[in-house]
Amino acid sequence: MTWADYLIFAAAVILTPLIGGLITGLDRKVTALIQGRYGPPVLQPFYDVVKLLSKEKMIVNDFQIFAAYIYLLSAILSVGFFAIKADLLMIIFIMSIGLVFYVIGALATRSPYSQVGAQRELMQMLAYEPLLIFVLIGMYYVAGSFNLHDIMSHGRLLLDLPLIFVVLSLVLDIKIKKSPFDFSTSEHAHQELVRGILTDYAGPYLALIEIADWYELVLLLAMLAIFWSQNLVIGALISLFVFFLDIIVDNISARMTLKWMLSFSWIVGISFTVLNIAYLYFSNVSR
Amino acid sequence: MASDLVLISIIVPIVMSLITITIGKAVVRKTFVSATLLIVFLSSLAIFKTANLPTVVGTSYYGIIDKLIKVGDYVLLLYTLYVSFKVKEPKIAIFSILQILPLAYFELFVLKEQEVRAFYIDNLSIIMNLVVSIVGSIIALYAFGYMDHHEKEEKLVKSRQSRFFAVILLFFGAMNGIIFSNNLMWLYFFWEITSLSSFLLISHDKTEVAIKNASRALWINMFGGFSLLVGIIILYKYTGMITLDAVLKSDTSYILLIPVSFMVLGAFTKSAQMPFQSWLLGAMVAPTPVSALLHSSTMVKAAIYLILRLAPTFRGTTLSGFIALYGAFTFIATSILALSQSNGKKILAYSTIANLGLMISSIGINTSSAITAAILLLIFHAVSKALLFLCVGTIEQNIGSRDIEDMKGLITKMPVTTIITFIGILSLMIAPFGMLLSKWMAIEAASRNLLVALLLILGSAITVMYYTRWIGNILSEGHNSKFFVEKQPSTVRFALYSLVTIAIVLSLAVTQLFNAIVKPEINMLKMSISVKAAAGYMESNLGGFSIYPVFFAIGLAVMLAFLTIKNSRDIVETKPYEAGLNYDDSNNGYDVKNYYLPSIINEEKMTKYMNYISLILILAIFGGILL
Repeated sequence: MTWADYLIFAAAVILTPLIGGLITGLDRKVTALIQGRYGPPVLQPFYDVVKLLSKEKMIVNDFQIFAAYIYLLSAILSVGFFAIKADLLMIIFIMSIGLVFYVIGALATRSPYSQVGAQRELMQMLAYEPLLIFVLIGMYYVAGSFNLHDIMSHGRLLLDLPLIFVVLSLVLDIKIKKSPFDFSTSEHAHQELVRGILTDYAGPYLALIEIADWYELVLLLAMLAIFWSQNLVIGALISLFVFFLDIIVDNISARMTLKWMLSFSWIVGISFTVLNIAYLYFSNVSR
Repeated sequence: MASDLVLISIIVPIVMSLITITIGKAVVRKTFVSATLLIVFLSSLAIFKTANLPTVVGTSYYGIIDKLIKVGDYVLLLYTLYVSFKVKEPKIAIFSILQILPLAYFELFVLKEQEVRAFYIDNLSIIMNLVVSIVGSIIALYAFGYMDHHEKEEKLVKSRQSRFFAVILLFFGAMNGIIFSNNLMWLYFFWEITSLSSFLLISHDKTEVAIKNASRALWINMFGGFSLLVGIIILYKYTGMITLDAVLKSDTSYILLIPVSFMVLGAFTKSAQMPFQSWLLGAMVAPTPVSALLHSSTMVKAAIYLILRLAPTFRGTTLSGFIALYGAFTFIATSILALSQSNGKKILAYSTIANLGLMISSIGINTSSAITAAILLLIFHAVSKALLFLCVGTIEQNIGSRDIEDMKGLITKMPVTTIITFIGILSLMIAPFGMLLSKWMAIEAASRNLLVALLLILGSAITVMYYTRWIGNILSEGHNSKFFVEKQPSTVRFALYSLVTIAIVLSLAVTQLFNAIVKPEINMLKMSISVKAAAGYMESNLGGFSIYPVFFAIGLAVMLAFLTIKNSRDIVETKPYEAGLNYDDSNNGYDVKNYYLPSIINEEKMTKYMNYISLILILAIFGGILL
């Protein structure tokens, strides 16, 4: 790594939560508008996190603290590696370290709500993690490498990998737990699960998890954006458009069942990936 | 020099095993066994340090050993015939007769006697030898403490430990025999000894189910031995080769692929790939050290060794592609089955079969990064799996159950073992531990082969799920638990501590490990080196993985958490949320079981269909010879 790399790494680590919080704020605003409400200010997520950070440190057991920190740090690390254009598969592996601890932290308390939430989160991971790697395989077929640097040199992946792009959009939807995939936390509170996997995370540790979620949200949006790496502004607009669609879907659909999610995501993931790669062969793009 | 050392590593354990069986006194036996283990360990280090690699060496005792092995073959097969009548399992008899007849025909009429150089030593043999003698010895030491407790539980009047340790030593000798033999007939002999020793070990408790499962293990492995023998006979008959170095020097050809696929089939049975998995699943009735041995450093790894050894002969063939697919199928199929289990040992067993499938798949991909991945997987899997079996054994002797649902809140009862189990599971399923690094390499190497890649990716995701919830269970507690060091026999403690240390250190030093022993092997195979390793960074032509930053991040998180816990006086302990109800700390409170997805996965039904598919894939491998 060069000095420039370190600087980019640091800049990404500092800027990402600001962007992530802002996008989350926009999400709440748009959702409110769709539902005919006025909604909170766009900066509300930041107010929430600051307040949470200053709250009493309430825990059930110490392991939750470990879990929250590892979740946050692995999210930071994966975003940093993304910024310096490292190996994408490695980035996904690093991201999953945090997720594993996030789930274990919830399982480690004895609350049935957080345990059910954690079990559901595991199912969600089972639904989207393989798809995320399918996306990388698709990129590999075009770029001949897993290194983000080589993948981005390709410019307009979207044209070659339209179906893979859809798969990644699906991943985003499951990952940010929007309806119809709002299983593990029941995004709209006051439901049967209370806050699911988050139930027993409280105060500053909940704040850490919120921040980690911002990092991961931005990471996924960035992965969508590199489908148009020729001009990243267009790429960013594309990924924000997908995010906007997710908000719409969130508001017009109801939660489905876990079994449905699993079969839906795997069937779509596998068939779209295979079809797209077959298309690459026929159009002679594949290297 | 090298040949004498190798001879020591094979002969000493076998001779000592014959002596051990006569020793009744516990103290004498323990000293004796430890001394043997020490010799095995030191000889492996000495071979590693002194041998000039790769080399094929002869020994001045060739004649006598060869005679002993020739006689030994028949003694062994006749003994299995006798076993067959004793346990009333005709299948064993069928396969031993199927071996005796061709063997006699082959040795009397076909094989022309000539002295060949006895031992084939290269980095792969060294790696295997180190795994057997380090991980294997640690498991054997663990057995000291475990077996005492085990016999107390069984209320045995007369200890049967002499037999137990004798077989274990025999096993080690035979493993080293497989690893170093250059003459394929020798390899076959030692291969059969390991089959027989695993029968003796699995049936150790003499219960009805133990004997039943042991005889199943024996007949399936005898089938494997039969297949191996057929392979060797065909090889000699059509090419005149009987040694490993000759086979590896010759060019890939039709004629070579036929015997090689028979040998690989034999290896599939030994590594319990589908549809042969039932013997390894049944083997968990044996005392835990036996499971640990079979699953980690010995037995199943002999099969991986053989396939790795033969990999150059089928590089770039259609057959290789089918082997990759077959391994990937076993990987995902057994991962799915593991998902439906709550029995800790069974989860581990399925996960072993899955990981062996992953290794076989990598070997089938057969590029230099895939072979690297396979060798690294072999090493890391041996350490982590041995550790986990020993953990489950320790837990079982304490709480009386191996069900992961019964392990809820284990952290309050056995904090040290829980933490070690926790690290052990992590080392199998998350980055930056060596298993995951190798998996990363395997997936990237497989990406050219879309179907294989998809299967590997799906299987890996499932692996994360069934291991994560296990960790969740052992850590699950509604309050902070006090830390204390639980009482354990010193050998048990030593085994757990040393294995967990090895698991962590090896993962940290994976690049050095690669440069020291894996890279020369790839060099020797004359493959273009596409994998490079510098301090903490693994790189292939497809991508790169930085290990240190990840360890650093995890370390930082752990430190931050410790500092928070230690320094803040304002931490408030609260009760788990139960919607306003009073939290009940006993086990009578509300509790949630893991999702085992019984509505999707029916073990029995699914196994049946998966067996059919795997049979078709095996047929495809044989069909692949023609393509």
